[in-house]
Amino acid sequence: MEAITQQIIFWILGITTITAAIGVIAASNTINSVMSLLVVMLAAAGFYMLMGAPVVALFQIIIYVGAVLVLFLFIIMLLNPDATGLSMSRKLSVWMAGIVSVGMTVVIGWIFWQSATQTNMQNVMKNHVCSCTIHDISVVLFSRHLLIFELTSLLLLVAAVGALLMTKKTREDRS
Amino acid sequence: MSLYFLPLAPALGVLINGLAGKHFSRQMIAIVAVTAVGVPLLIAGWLCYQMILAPATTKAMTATLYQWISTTAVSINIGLLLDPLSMVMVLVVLFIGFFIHIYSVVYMKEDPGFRRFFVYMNLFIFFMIILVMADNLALMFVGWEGVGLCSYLLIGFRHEKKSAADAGRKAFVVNRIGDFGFILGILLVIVTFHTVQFSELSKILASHHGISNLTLTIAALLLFTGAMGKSAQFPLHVWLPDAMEGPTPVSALIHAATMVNAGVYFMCRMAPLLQQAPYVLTFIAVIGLITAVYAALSALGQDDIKKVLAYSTISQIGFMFIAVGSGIFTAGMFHLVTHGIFKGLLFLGAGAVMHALHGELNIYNMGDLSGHLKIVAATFFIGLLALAGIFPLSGFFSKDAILWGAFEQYGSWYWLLAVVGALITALYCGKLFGVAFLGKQNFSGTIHKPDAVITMPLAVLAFCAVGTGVFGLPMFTPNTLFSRIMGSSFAPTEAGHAVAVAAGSHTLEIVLTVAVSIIVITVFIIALRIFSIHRDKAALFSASYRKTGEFLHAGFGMDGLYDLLWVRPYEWIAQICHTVIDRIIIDGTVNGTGKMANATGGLFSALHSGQLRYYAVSILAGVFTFVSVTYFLIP
Amino acid sequence: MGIYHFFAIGIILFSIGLIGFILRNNVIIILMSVELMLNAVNLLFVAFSRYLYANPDGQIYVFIIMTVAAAEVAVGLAIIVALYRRFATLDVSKINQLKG
Repeated sequence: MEAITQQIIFWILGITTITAAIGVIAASNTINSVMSLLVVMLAAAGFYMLMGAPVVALFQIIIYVGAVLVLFLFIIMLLNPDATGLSMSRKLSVWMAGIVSVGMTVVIGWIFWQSATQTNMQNVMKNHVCSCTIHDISVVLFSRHLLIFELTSLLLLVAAVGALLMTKKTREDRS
Repeated sequence: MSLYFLPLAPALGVLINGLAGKHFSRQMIAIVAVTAVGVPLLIAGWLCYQMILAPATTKAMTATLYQWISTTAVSINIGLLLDPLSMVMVLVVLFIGFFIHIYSVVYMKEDPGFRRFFVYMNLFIFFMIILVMADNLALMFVGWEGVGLCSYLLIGFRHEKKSAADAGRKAFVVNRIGDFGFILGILLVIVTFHTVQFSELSKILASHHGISNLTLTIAALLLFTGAMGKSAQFPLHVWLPDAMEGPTPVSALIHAATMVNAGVYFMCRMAPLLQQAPYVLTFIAVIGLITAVYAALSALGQDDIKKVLAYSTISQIGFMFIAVGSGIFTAGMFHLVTHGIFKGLLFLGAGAVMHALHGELNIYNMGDLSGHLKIVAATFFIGLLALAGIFPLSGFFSKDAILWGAFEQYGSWYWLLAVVGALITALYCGKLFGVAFLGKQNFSGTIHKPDAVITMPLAVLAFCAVGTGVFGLPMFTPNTLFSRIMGSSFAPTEAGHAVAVAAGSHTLEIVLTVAVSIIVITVFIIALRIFSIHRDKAALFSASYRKTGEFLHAGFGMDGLYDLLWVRPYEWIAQICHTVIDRIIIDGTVNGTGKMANATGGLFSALHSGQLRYYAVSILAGVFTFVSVTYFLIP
Repeated sequence: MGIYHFFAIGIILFSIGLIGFILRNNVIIILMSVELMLNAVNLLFVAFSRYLYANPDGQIYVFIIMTVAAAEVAVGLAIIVALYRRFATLDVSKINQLKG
């Protein structure tokens, strides 16, 4: 793919992502939020493709779009909450906190950027590109990161059981 | 093998009634409890028969269950020893215990704590047999503490009554003083002899052991302190009169016939040691004499029928200690047996009277009971005759042996004081019978007749109170039937004594005995007449000496004295501990810590708004601070 | 086009998620904001893996994060259901039982 095409795709995706992300947090209707989130997820998958990580993009779509968002929709439909008046907080202090938080985030990001690039900038300069085919990822995942992989499976199990237990109606609830 | 069964049967009784008794009927509980005492009584009788037949060298039976403690300093077995000395005690405990169990079945019939009572009683019998049959000091101490526990539990049997609970506590605390001496004594024995086994102790003591006289004296003195506490000797006697708060069968069994005599038995056990500590013997004799006279005087001032008998018990045990102190252990044991029987009888009689009069205790509210309760009155009279030491009842023989032994050992003045004690005994015996059973009736309610189960034990014990005197025959010789049964128990310790007696003339002894008997009988009859027929004169007399009467009634004010000496200062210290140490220092520290934590927590709790978003901002601020610090401040 | 662009997108996405988390009162939206932030982080991981370190470890982490996110959503939504039953509202400003 040519660089200019990539540039164009990047900018389209970028604008879409940010617009949709703002839509997620600004929509007064919860369903609209979920739909916006869907757009963000898809755009993120596009970014991954752009960065030459098709496996991640694939899982992004499967897990986030296929599972997580559907779960959100389920819950919203299940509870069918009256969400009127649940939009933005109108308190000045909350807004101040939000602005300060963003400032802090930016500073933290800048610091991370600084420390990361100080040591690894030569890679960027030499334009090293990783060979991140599904084969490479699998080899690393099932050798170096095997323990973490297994632990994650355990975590999933615990989360599933936990979610079950938490939503189970106790005897007091029923009465 | 059958040796184990003696303690095992009551233990089984405790387990069965204690664990499963909830589902039993009262009848079943009673059957289990009585069987648990009756069966070992039969076995003990059989063993006794065998023992009498056995040649002198093999009279002692032993059985070692297992090794309890094994160290380089001392090794202690759980072992049982049944020699003539413990045989006599076992028979006394089981025989009297058996009849008191039967008696209690009816006496406690209405009591809500029926099962508890019999569990405690069987437990008591178990511990008493352990105490008696232990072949070493440590195991004996186990039984010693066990009977103390049962005594405490049974004194406070009606624990919802404050006076009963207090009496139980008092018995426990006073016994603790004695037991403290006992423990120290055991430790000293371990350090000195490196064994606690009775047989080995007497072996060492018989040899040229080279242990200093002072050590032996201190050890004997410490052990005697334990005996003083348990046997209610002056000045540790104060718990026994209060112990009458327990049910009457308990008073009969524990606080008259068996447990309180454990001290005497214990001293007899330690005879080889005492024999080598003559100062302690004298000390025991003096304590015994003081107790005998003091308690007899106090008994004179009582108007509660059980209190009279309680002080009488203290006094009689004093006589036993006179025997021990005079080195005539056989006579002491003989008095223990006869006293156990007739005092058990008297307490059971008192219980029957209370039963008939709906719990009336004051003898001045009774009067003329002999007309209504013929069997009870007759048996009670026999018991009192035996207690007063009137020929030919058992008490006469045992008391006479003691008095004569005291005369030989400590001379005429000591003897005279002991005789005074005996005379006062006759006096309060006469008074008790005269006031309660003769004269004018002062009781207004209905008297309900005791049934056969109550009178049967009385009859049996009355028969024994008369009959056991036979063992004191032939008189005026050391070679009585009882000492033949006792066999060689005290042979090495009493040998010298026997020789001395044989050498002396009998004439003086016979004359003194006859004279004392006549005076005792006279005093008894006079007291009987005064308090039954000339009651108004007696009342006038006591009214003119009211202060003295009150003094005697309070037991010479010993309780008040102890209150002043120990209880008040202790309370004062406790009060200081309460207000200063506990309230200010400890509570202050604890509460201060709490308050500080509370204040700090209050400070920080203001940070908790409960709003989720602020927690998120806090996390971010934390990360921000951490990252900034590590990046900017740490190069 | 390079790491700078993706980094900028990631930071912006994270900030938007953060603002959503702080400003919104609806619990479900807050959970979605968390998802936004996770996605931003994922984006950065892949970008750094691709351009800065040139090895696939970053992508592995993305997988792990995705799994954890899925678990988190499952538990989080379960909590939301329980909360809704308990308080009959989804307004976080009203659910302040931990207020000291």
